[in-house]
Amino acid sequence: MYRFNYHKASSLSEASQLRSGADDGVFLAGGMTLIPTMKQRLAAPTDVVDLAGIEGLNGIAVGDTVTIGAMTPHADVAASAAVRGAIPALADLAGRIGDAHVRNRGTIGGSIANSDPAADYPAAVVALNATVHTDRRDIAGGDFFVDLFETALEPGEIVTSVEFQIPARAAYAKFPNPASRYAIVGVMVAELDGAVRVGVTGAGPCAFRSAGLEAALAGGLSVAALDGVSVPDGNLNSDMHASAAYRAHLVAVMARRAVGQLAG
Amino acid sequence: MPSSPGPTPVTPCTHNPLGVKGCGEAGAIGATAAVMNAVTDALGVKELAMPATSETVWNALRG
Ligand SMILES: Cc1cc2nc3c(=O)[nH]c(=O)nc-3n(C[C@H](O)[C@H](O)[C@H](O)COP(=O)(O)OP(=O)(O)OC[C@H]3O[C@@H](n4cnc5c(N)ncnc54)[C@H](O)[C@@H]3O)c2cc1C
Repeated sequence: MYRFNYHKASSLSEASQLRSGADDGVFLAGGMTLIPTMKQRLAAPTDVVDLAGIEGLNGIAVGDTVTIGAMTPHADVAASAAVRGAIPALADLAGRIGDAHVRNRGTIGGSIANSDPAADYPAAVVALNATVHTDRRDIAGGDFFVDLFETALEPGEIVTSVEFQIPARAAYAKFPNPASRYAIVGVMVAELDGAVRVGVTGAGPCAFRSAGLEAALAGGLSVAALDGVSVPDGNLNSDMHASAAYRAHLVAVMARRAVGQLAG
Repeated sequence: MPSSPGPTPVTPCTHNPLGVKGCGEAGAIGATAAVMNAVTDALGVKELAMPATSETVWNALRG
């Protein structure tokens, strides 16, 4: 790790200023990705601006929608009775991220800002038509993930919360890496406003909705509707964990499992 | 440390015709072969490269 300046901001505007005033500033949430990256010298920011001292970024509000503050750790989402009551699949998803240590430190803001192709939350962001609130604007979930480790966030833009629509029903199935638990493939199937939405993570450069699976399920959420349905592997990832062809196969299998959970 | 030549006691195993005994990682090595034999038997294939990851098994299933 290289030497850097540490700042703890107490407001969003202070965090913005600290970062824009630095040569190469970066925000710190739980540090679950940022710190190892710095230790491995893959990132060498001059200034690290900690968001942990900013009030109002940590918390869960459930009403007509489920809003999760950017600094809310995964463990709080997993343990929230209100989240479980409104969107059980979201609490399940959070509870199966990494291990207990990662869930205690890792945050939803850090998870989506990073756009790791293997992260779990992105599947829910696209499947549940979420809105990403930032210190500058609102970004539709479907527009947020742009590419591998790339989002619609502008330099210095801070995610403040993620607001999920409450589906009539939803389920998440993932094929985890046995060591890290990151999703080799994760699929969320949701019925929202009378339409079926299928969010896929782990498989491509970033999370996306599967038009093919959504079309297959448009007539109703039944496992049989997925019989013989395959997923194209053209733009899927191939790496040491799985080939593109195997990922395509897993997307179909995870979709079946998610639908199977809903069918009872 | 200086080498220390000394007596090498020989106690052949009485339970097999060769009198040999497993030592070191014998247990671990046997387990790997047993599991791979079980996997190839279940899949009906002759050979499978280790490790038998889910993708390796999936590929073997597809022939
Ligand atoms: C061993 C291990 C296993 C894991 N397993 C899983 C898994 O199974 N599934 C899964 O989904 N994830 C997994 N993760 C990722 C983890 O859950 C965190 O979500 C992720 O590491 C981000 O961590 P963080 O919130 O601490 O953010 P940090 O590491 O602090 O930040 C990550 C990046 O996001 C930026 N950032 C952070 N917050 C904001 C914000 N509010 N606005 C704008 N930018 C921001 C930072 O500048 C940085 O670039 C795993 C991580 C580890 C270390």
